[in-house]
Amino acid sequence: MAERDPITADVAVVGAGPAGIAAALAASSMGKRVCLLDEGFNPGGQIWRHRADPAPRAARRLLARLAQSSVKILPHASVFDAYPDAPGWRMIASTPEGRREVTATSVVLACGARERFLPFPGWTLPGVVGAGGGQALLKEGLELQGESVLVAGTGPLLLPVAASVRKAKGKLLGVLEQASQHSLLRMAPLLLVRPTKAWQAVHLGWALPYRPGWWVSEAIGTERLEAVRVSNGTRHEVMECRWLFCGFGLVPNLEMGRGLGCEARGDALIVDESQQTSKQGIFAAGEVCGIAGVDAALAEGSIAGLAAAGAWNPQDASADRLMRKRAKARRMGLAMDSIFRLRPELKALPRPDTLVCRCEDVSLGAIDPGWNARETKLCTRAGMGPCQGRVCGPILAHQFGHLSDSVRIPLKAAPLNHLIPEEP
Amino acid sequence: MKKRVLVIGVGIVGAAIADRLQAEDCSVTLFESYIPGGGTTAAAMGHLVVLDDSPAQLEFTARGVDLWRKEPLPARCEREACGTIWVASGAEDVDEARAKADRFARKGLETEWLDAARLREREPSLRKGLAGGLRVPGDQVVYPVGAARWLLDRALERGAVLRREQVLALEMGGLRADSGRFQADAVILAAGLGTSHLLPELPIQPRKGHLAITARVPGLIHHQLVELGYLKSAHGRVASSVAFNVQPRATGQLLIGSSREFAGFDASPNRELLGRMLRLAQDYVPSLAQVPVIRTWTGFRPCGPGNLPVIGPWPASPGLFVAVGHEGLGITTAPATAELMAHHIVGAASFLDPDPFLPGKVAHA
Repeated sequence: MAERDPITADVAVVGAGPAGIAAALAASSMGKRVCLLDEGFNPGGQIWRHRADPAPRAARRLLARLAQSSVKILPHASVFDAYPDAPGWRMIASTPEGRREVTATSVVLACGARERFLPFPGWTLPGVVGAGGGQALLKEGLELQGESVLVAGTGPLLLPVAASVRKAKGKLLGVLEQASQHSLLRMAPLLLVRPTKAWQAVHLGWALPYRPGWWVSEAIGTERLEAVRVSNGTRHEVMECRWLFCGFGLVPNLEMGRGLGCEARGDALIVDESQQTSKQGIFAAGEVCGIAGVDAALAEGSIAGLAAAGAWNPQDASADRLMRKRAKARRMGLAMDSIFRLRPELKALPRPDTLVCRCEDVSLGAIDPGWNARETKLCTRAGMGPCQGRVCGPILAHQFGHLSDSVRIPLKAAPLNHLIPEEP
Repeated sequence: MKKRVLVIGVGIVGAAIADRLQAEDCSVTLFESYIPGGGTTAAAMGHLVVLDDSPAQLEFTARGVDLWRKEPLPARCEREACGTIWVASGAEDVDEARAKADRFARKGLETEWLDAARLREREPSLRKGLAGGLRVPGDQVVYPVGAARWLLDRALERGAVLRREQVLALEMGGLRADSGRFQADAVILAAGLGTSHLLPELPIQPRKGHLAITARVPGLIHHQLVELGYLKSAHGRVASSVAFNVQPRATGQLLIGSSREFAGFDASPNRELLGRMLRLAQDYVPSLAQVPVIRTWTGFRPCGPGNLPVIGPWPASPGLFVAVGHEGLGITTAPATAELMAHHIVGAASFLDPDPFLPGKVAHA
């Protein structure tokens, strides 16, 4: 099969969200052979993939350009291994058709982010779902038919989630935003310079029962969610509800970058002005460089794609525009980080019997606060389950300040025979 | 007067020694600069297995398994009394299995020969066309870190003291650590791969291995399955080798081994060797091909100069004892090692002949 492995590319882009699409198009426009690997069936990433309603104009334009470009898209491809293969890099992906290998001179990591979960008593009850996960369920056709729904957590994602709940005929009890009113007011100047965002916020926020400074302290139920206890620190209420859509922002997907040895600071890969990581030939764009949203992803993707193609020149007029766009979006990202910072009260919510690792059934009380991430993992198996620490890693980081333990292959679970190289 | 004993290294061997000596009324202090049970122990499979590469190895591993079987292990040790099946693929293996059964029988160890049909009844996931298997019902499985920490906790409950600091040097009648000098009647070096820093005359080489663990597939495999050619891989000194070795865990996950290579302390995966190891597992259990692997890792076995670990007084330094070089046998033989050490330190009765393990003997074996 001549079409088979390895796929040889000049630039491999991992992740087909906004950052990855922008990177693939930029590199391709420079005449490079580009391979775009993505876990989804359609490009678009978490943000554009599920859109039942028409995607935003910018998205439709990019997706159309991608479809017409020479970019080779490898869909349903879960990259589970990546390593140096001189003069470039080799990526191994698991696809429904089997193991696929891609070699490339440069790589753009545009792996995006996932939801952050935080534990509170009852958070594992059926009926409690992640805000983003819940929204995906709604887009896939979950019908709420008048069932009561509370949306809670933090961040700008809560508003569109609440809007989706209403659209799915759910009875929306409210939107609880853990950030205080005072903190949210700091958003006003940002919104003034971003009229579209302001309009969205006003449009969504005014129409919804939005309660800043409130959070869920307990989910109550036996078989499934029946009620939630909510608090603002001084007042407590119990609300009957059938669904809780709960999200605490996003966590960048750093596994592949860290597996390749790229340096990170906190939750973000470190990149230079051309989006190159600490490893020569590996670039990063979008949420993996820190959560900053779609505008940062688009600008950084374009820069990374050009740089990966060897065509990035900061002196160009177009480069200047991209850099200004990037700087503005990053400033916004940092401001949002600070506005929606998690309040310390959330750390006190889980009880000793509250699960912190769902895969391995590890409760908070099983963890000695003196342990680091590795000792915790070895003694309790937290993080050893099928999610490979994607859920409990950020929980333990939040609860105990643990730094991530080492990254191991497969970066994502893959069928055993996909881990076996072709016999020479 | 209680004997003061310092144990350097809290892998499963150091933990078992400390637990045993504290029970023998010694006053034990343990030193570990990293995580107790976090070195070779953490990377191990946890197969409590009787091996018979040599008469001494058979005695040693059988004693280890026997002592483990008597321990009231709590749930966190994840004990599974699953037994081992030594899988025979051809006529040569069948002869080897029969010889093994005889050797075990002479030790009073129970085995059961399964012909091809009965092997398939016991383990339907194994490929067709295998010659049979030798079942060893007494073998067990534990979670090594859980078992090591349980031994450590029991030692601490009995009054032992754990110091999480680095031992910098051995000294006459004691040692020097980060926080200062410690004097004792006996110093026991159980530092595995950390041994050579403190005692360069006793070289311990890292022998790297890979393991893979799957998602939960309860019921696919019922026994620890090992190919009869395992010992060839384990004890050959070739650059690298793989052997079929699959273990069912209490969670329904499968732990897949094994590989051996000398590659220094490079912990990065050897993808070619890992691939060979997984291909062999898939050859024996074809349905493994589609089972998701969720994690792989590497570890280093502490490989001494001979085929047995070195256990006993270090001749050149009165008061110094060593218990190192267990290679892949540390989990199985930790309690037997502790028993030998109790013999050397407090003169406790020894079930095993200590002679084959003495430093002078093993180095020249």
